[in-house]
Amino acid sequence: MKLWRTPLDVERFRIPHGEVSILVERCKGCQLCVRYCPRDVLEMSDGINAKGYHPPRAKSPERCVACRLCELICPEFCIYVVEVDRE
Amino acid sequence: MSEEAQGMGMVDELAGVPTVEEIERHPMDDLLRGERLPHIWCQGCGIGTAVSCFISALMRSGLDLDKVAVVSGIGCTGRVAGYIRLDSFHTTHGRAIPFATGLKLANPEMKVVVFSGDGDLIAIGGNHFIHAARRNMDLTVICVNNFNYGMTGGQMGPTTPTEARTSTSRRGNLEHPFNVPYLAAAAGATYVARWTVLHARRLERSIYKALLKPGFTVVEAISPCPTLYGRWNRKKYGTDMFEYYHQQAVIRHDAQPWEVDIGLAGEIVCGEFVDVERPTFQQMYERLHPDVRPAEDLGLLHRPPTELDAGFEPAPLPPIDVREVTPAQVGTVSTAQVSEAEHVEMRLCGFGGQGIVLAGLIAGKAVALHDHREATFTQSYGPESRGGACSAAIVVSDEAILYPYVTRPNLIAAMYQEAYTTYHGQLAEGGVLLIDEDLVQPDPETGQRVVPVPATRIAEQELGRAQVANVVMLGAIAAVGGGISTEALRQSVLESVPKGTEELNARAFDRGYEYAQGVMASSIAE
Repeated sequence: MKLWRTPLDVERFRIPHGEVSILVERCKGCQLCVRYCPRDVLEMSDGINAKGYHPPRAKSPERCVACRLCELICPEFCIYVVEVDRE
Repeated sequence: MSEEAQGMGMVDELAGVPTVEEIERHPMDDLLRGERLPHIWCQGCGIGTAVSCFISALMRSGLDLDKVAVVSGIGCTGRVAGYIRLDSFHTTHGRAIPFATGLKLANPEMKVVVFSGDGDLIAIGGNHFIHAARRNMDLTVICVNNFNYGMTGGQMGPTTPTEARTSTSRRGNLEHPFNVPYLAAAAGATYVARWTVLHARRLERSIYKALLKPGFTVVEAISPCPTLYGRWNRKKYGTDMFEYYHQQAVIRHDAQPWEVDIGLAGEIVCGEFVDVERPTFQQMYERLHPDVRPAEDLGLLHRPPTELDAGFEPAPLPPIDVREVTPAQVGTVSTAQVSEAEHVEMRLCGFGGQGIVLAGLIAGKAVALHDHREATFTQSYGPESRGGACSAAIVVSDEAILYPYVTRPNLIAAMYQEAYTTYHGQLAEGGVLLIDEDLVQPDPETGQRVVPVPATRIAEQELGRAQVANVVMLGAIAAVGGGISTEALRQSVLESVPKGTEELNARAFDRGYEYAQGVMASSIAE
């Protein structure tokens, strides 16, 4: 992350990293996760699921900070985040 | 076909998207009846988000899950009880709170949550709501407010904002709506909060607080209904309504409940408006009746079996009468073209939202009004507006039709795998099966004549509107025959679609016709 000025205690903080998983068959393509992801991790994909909806996919998974907003806002219980160690 | 269209395939071809088998379960699956998912709520509906927030709050609350019950009434939100893997009950319309009251009084150690919609809690159940608040019954009420009666077709209700258009207030609602936080606060609730579902984290925190606070606690979750309320008020997609919340919602915890009315376009005041202490019904009961013990202590709830129970076995269910259908009943069908027959049955099937019922209606009108033949049209669909199994059946004949239902269709148009699985076995000898090839994988062993038409893909990528997929399919039906003349069907399409979309629908019809003819010509050549 680009910082305007490096804080003195920057070593004490660790930016968490998350891995996004999507259960594509539950998705109805409402786009809420794509639109409200604060880190712009997701995008809509071109493929379709069994009901013909376009599920999202992670376009830049490395940007995810495991805030879990997508998990909470998804009305279909089809997206979740697992926090992982980057190292 | 464009390169883009060719690149579009079934789910397992999606690059970078893991399939269901590859990954573990959703963390909320422990509290969801996964076998019933995907749920019936429409694309862009916020009820699912409210349920996510509830489950997340419940998991965080540390409550004993064996002692939590969820009670719902009728309506879209009434389905919540059926999706949560807890003790749950789906009551009659408006009676969620009375049922929950009884449940709580008989089991004082339980945490009872009422999860229902505005139509159920505030309209038909309004009196129960205010009296439970007055008594300060120990219940947590989560009221999902979408401003209309969603499941029954978007009628106006007591929470519809003034001047909002709905299917029963087409020039705008002339009444003033209930202000739910004010109603709850005035009647005596101890905790009242309101959030939109866009405030997912704050909604979750409020539900968490409400679950742990004794007394009648109310959380109102403002939720979009894009299919009905949104469509009538120029917010057609879930994202449009979320955008509206994003722009208009303000958080004002110190607002007085009487100041938080919701207008059609003005601001939506959110926040925690009431957080007070009052003795609950249970506490008053125990203070005034110290000698009365709970029913469980008296052994009334778990009665040991007596000799009367021993000989009792439920009566066996009567056998189901299966009606035998012989091909002779169907009439003659030429193996070459369906359209030559005097009596043709056809079935269009898919899921709600694809326009199956409208397509059936258009076909029926074409026969009756333009071909001047006899036709019957029957439809079947679930309570949900989008996503449920849906079927339209048409009988076409030169003579009066004595039995209006379809038993052995000569033509089936299936636009969804489940619909195909349910109905393809009914296809009459020599009949034709039209399928949306991206959504249906036909069974090759049946030997049925299948005409694959990628209706949804054509509608979405070539015509730019997924909604016209049903008209593309009608075009394909015209090409196959189906006992309806092409001119009649085309005319009927143009008369039935919304004004201003005639040109698009005509193109969709012609494209479907042309595509299906191409498929059939190539199959004859083989």
